[in-house]
Amino acid sequence: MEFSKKMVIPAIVLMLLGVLVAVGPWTFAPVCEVHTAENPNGLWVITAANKTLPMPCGYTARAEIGIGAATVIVGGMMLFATAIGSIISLAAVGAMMGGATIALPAALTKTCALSSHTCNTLTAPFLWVMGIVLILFGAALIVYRKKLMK
Amino acid sequence: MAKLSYGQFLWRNLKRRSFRNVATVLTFAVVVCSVLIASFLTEGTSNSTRAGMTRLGADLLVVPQEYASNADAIIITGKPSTFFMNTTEMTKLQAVPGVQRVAPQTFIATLSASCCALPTQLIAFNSTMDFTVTPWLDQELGRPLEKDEVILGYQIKGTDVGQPIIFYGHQFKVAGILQPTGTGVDQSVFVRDSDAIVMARESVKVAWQPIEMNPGQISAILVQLEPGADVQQVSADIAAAAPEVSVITSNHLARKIDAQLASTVGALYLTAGAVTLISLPLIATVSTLVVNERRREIGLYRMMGAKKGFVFNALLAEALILAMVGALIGLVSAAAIVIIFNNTITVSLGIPFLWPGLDAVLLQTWWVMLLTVLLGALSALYPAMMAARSDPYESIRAGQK
Repeated sequence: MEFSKKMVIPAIVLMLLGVLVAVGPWTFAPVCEVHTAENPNGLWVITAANKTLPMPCGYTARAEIGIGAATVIVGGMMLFATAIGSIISLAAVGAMMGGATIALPAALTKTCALSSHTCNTLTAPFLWVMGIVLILFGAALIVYRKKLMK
Repeated sequence: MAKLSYGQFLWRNLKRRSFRNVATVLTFAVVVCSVLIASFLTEGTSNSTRAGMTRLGADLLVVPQEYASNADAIIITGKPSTFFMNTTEMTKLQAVPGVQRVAPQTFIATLSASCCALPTQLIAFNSTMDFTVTPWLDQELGRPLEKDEVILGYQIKGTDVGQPIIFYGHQFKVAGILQPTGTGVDQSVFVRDSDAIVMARESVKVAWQPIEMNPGQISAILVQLEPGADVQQVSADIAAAAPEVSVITSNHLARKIDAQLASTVGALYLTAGAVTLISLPLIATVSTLVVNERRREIGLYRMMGAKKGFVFNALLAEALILAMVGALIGLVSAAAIVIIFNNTITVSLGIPFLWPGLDAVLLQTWWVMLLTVLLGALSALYPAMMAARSDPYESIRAGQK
């Protein structure tokens, strides 16, 4: 495999975005179960049988780890993209990862019902912004692919 | 040689000065974005307050004086509270002129529930006296609330109609879900007071933390006024008849929300104003400089038969296109910011928010866009006039220097 020097910066940006998507919901844009000053034990669903389960946002955060990891892999593969076709394909996958980043909190695993929960005030807005950035970044790579190859 | 359409001609002109044009577009985008965010927030909060008070269905809400801010928080942000007062206050209120009828409600903050994990507000109402929830029940459910049935606010979504929900160890069944209001009502659960008393009694045995509630205790009195009664006068009369209570009106809530929103909206309008004041003369100056740069080009158009009107219209059209593109970017950004950060904004500012109807949004957007396009035209007016009036021969000579 041939290393593509010109793709180093786009690849690093994509990997960084992937890391942020995976780590954000567990750190600086926490979902409800993350221990915070307001909720030292985090918020969990407690069933009638006294079983503790993650809230809907917990599943979103877990799924975003997968999306983030996949984005990092796409970024890693971009380091070796020397043909226009590969750049277009990887950029399109990156943009699709952006779509998935948004789809999880918006429609698939969703967030909690109450608007005051941190998953609605911090996690969801953060994931929306990251998703939009990934989509725009993927689109920009496709539009400027020829300049990247020069 | 292929013929250029008018649109292609304008597009090529704009493309040649891409950096200046991008900066101009961004300036208009910032102005439109700031004004529209402020406008959406203002309209959204007042729409929400209206919807919340309509849902409560009362002209006045009377609460114990020391818990007035708790009651405000329940309605505005849904922050749950438990507080009580005696039913004797109801008798005093009924005697106040202008009061048509009164109904008690009891506010109980729940423990973590399976639906919500955070405490939720239970609002217990009296089935025989109530005039707020009952009309909704008649309209939507077609029957009164039965034993151990609850009505959920729009945001309580961990369960569905017909499903069980447990509060203080007592199992209820969901009978219906209210329409959104954007206020704390969306995070409340409505229950019959007779069921709430049973729940309180049972909570001593089955709940982690029992409710200390005695029969005959209520939290608030909803007041419906006689048609034509003056809200301010009746509020004053109630305060005189029962000095230990506070009267909450929709005006009071609106004022409180306005105060919480004022600094943010003020900052947004100030940004828009400052950007407009600084950038418009700047854009006009830059446009004048660009016209000077293009003197030769403009002179050549005139020599080839272009009329003064053509030059004037072309320069004005370029400015209008930039303003319109900027306004569109600003509109999309403002809508995206308010949609994405809706919860962050409302929770951090402590305000309710409910998107105004499409007609109100379109009307606000139309005015802001129109104003921006007019500002764009205004900034290009002088340079366009200067270019149109210039002598073709002199322009070409000056442009060659």
